[in-house]
Amino acid sequence: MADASVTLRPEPQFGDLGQQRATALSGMWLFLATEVLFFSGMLTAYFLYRAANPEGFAEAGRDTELWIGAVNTAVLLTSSEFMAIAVNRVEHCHPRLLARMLGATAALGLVFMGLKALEYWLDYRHHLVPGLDFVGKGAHAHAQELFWILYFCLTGVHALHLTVGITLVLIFAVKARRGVFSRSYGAPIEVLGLYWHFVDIVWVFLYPLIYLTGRSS
Amino acid sequence: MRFPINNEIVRTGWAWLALMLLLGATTGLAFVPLGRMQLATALLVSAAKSAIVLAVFMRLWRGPDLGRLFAAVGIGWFAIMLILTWADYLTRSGPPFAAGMS
Repeated sequence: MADASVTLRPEPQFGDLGQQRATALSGMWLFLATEVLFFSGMLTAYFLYRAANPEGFAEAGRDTELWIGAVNTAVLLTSSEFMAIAVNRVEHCHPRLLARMLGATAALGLVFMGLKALEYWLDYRHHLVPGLDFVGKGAHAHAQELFWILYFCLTGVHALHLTVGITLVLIFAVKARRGVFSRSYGAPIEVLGLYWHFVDIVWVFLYPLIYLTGRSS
Repeated sequence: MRFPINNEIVRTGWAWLALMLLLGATTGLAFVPLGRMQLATALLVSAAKSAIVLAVFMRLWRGPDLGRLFAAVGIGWFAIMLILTWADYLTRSGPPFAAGMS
């Protein structure tokens, strides 16, 4: 497939495609900085309430589905590997391989969402959904409910981000198959990759805070 | 189609392997009674995993300077939120540390 650089022109506000790419990447990093703030409010609440209610949080943490959390972490980290290869492929002009790598990334994202749906269903079956049918145990029932409120807020917002990511990856996979991206015009894939990896990093921190709490006590 | 391998793909492969090993380590360590160090250890492993993702997958050091600045700003904002919030709650007896919270 021919490199599209022959006909590509930067947008009028940029001197060249290199400047356009650097601006796009910087813009995504700035967006991710605001995303850190978005998650940090809930994480701060988690740390505060955990410090105030260590027993209740440990008891609630033991009720989470550890195997789903662990498998989903591996799935998401592997999807990031495919996304990193996709960025590498666009730089080396392999549009078909790029499309396949993006397809694999989206597929693993869908596996994550499927397991997450199964986990929510199991949580419901175990009466762990606050406001719906929550049944606490023992003296720390209120603290356990706080944990589960934070659990659904954090994992729900993360799942929302992942849904946006999967949608964009699928759209970009179709575009890649049509040969839209090239060595000269690969910035959109790089920008999308940054977003995908950030969602991965958020989960890397959520995993121990949610699933590994209280396992040793 | 033959899959072309280059140095960067090999590097991301090693990064993935390290991430899987760290995932196993953090899961195993959760069952070791470390007391108050439990959370700190888990967060330390998470920070190590994030550093690998940032350096290898997100290519933080090869991107634009502004990208590194914004990444640092994001972490800085989070640190400010944590420090000021803890400074407040640790110096008074109101919620969520009020007696009978649990």
